[in-house]
Amino acid sequence: MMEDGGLLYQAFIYLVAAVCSVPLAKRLGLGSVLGYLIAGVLIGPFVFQLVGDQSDVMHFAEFGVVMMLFLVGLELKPTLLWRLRTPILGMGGLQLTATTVVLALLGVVAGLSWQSAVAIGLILAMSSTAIVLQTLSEKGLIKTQAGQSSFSVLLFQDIAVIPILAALPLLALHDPSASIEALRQTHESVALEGWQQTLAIFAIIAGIIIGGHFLMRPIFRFIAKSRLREIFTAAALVLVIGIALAMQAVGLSPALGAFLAGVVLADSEYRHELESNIEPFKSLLLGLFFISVGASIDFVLLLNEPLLIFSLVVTLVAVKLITLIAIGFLFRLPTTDNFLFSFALAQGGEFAFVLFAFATQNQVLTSEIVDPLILTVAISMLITPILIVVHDRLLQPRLNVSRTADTPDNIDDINPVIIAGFGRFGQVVGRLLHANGFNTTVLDHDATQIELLRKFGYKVFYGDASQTDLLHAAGIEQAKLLVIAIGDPEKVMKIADHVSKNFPDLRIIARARGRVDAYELIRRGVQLVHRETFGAGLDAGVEALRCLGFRAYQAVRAGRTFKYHDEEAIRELSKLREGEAQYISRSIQLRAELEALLQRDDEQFKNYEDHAWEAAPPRGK
Amino acid sequence: MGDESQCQLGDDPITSSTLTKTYGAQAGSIALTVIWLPRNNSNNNNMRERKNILILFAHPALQSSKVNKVLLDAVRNVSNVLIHDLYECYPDLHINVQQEQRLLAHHDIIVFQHPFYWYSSPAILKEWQDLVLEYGFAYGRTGTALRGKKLLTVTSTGGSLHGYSQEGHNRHTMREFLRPFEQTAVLCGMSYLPPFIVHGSHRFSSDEDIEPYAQDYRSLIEALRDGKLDEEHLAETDYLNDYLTPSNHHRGN
Repeated sequence: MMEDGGLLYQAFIYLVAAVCSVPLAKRLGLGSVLGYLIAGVLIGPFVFQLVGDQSDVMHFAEFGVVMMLFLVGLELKPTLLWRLRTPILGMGGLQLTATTVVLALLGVVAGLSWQSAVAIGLILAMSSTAIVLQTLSEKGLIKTQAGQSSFSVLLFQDIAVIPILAALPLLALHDPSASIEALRQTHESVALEGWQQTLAIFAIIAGIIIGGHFLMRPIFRFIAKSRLREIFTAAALVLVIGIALAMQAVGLSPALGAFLAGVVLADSEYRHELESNIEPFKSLLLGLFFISVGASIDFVLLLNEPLLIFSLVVTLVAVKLITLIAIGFLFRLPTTDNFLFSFALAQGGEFAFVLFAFATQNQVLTSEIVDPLILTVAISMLITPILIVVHDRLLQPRLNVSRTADTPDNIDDINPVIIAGFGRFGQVVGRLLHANGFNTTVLDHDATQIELLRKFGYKVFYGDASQTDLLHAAGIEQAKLLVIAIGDPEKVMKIADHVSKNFPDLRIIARARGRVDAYELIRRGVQLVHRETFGAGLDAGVEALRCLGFRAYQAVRAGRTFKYHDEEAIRELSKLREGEAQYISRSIQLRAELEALLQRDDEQFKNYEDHAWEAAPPRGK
Repeated sequence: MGDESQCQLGDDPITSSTLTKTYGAQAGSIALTVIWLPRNNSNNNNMRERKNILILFAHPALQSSKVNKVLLDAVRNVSNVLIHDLYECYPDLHINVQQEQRLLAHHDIIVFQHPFYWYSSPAILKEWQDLVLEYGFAYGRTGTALRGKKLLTVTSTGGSLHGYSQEGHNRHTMREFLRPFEQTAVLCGMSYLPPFIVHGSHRFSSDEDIEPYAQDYRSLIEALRDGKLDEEHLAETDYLNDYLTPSNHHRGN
């Protein structure tokens, strides 16, 4: 077999595996995570042997978790995070402590030293952020109570990794000086004294918060002005990677830093754009991570010690499940939410791989103990999607509660109107709506414009509205009306096509550059089309009539007559093709009609005498 | 930006200053003249007895008017009289209620001048009433802004006086047709003056035929302004035209 076919070969194998198995798994209702895991098993050393050792790949792919937490942060405004403080500290803290204690006791009963037992307990208490959040958000359950509780616990675990990393060396089996040495090694990357490190940690966190608040906006504005989409993407990546590196440098969890940065930027107008830029990277990396978990499952060990592994997996899942159910009960989660919450979190997490490796290095645990446990964690991750399927198909129906995905508890207020493009045209629309108490979500890709508008309290988001993901991020599913006010006809058509195909019930008001674009839009089924300069031209025409001596009322009526006739004509001519003989003859005909119409109006005004309505007085009276 | 002439409010000395403001109206940027009125007694000392008269003029096609144009010209440069051309100011019928109410508050005698269309006024004057005569302004417990003021209808009609009688083809008198205006005035605490009416306008062949009416109109407006009309005599009068010349010769036969 090809041991190392180079980067492209590797990428090809991983991608093919994903492309083949994920859609299949989704079709079978198993969720994408299970699809990735199965793909990993298939290409792994024990089935088709297409890829080798997974530790490097896994390490790389763990970055997907960082990105995921950045995205989670973007969805969480600081106020919401503050509201979650009780579940994070309460549920998270309790979960970690209780699970650790139970697992450690079991370890001691099984004959391990207390130090090893505690270390194992701590490490196995972690759940998989990647699997849980991916699965829940795929099912649209993140915003349910179960979803929020799961998220809280996972966030606490992510934070807890830091003190755990610091504490593990203290549990070393041999002489204490070694463990102190090990502790120092942990922080070798910084090589700072304790107080310096504390200072560095605070500096980094303050830097993220302050920088995110004050620096990122002008920087993104500057970058956005270049109007190069890929540079914006690059900047987003630089941000996430930079934070990860900074956090690592002071010995903190990169995921936590990214999460923090996300929260800080959650209020920013670039949020949607950041989301849609990072999202594909996150998804691919997470997929890669799941594949590598699947591929790293040691089937040799499994075949040699099936009973041991089986009982370990059952014990791990059972302990976590029961602890979680108890916590859910304690925190008064509704029964359905409690079960989902517990089933979702009942596995070992990706941090276990890191922590086990770390513990072995520091001689806290031996590899004879660690190897079967790593396998146990991997298998528990593999069965999580299965557990959730079981929960959905078997348990949930019995609880007889329909779970609605559209919970009212939306993180963002969804506005009924989206205005795509806030230039000269869209502004008029937006200001009128605003003045009459309608909230609008505005999408624009002119950074200077956005900054100005924000000063006036508009909710404006940066981005190219013809990118459909931005429309989705802006809540097009919930909107009642979309105003396409972009100047570029190509983009207008693209949006009109996409929206009328996917949201046939959404009303669209579209800007047309001129007659030809108006025809195009009408042919695409957009009923409300407005030519961008028609209104102003008409107004000028009316003024011109007044300057030429028309009374105001007569001029206005003439303008109206012209307008209605012209709009009717556009509607009719849109059914014909420009340039065709029929089109030309019909246009000539319509022009004659307009003339007749204006003539009649003129006559009417002439006859508008003082006694017009009683023009024929009875004779002789 | 429209110039002021498009919404002429007359050269009234009491409208000491005017400010042009552009309104984005439905079908064009229509210039509206916002009037900054002087405080009621500040510069009226030298003409203590004079009343302020507001003529609300409603004609959708003044350009083809025979009678109303001449009548209007007759009162154009009378001091203390403000002519407010409604169709010219609000060609899209978008009436500026606040401005209208300010105008009303400042004037003592309100004149509705219009051709007689379908036994009533042209549409804009109805729209004006519907919007401007608000509850709390013109009527209702706190709606006292118009109390004690006078309302006068000045109108022209093609039909003769006979046509507007029990025996005529219109079967009712002008006073009967004008009842809605009269009652509107009463409800707003105003007194309704006898109307000034030009009958048989379709028989006029030149401005000269209208001239006598125009002169009467002007002298009546001046007399009203100077408070020279006898209230008792007025109350007995059917048409304001008769106040000057009790004979019926003006009433277009």
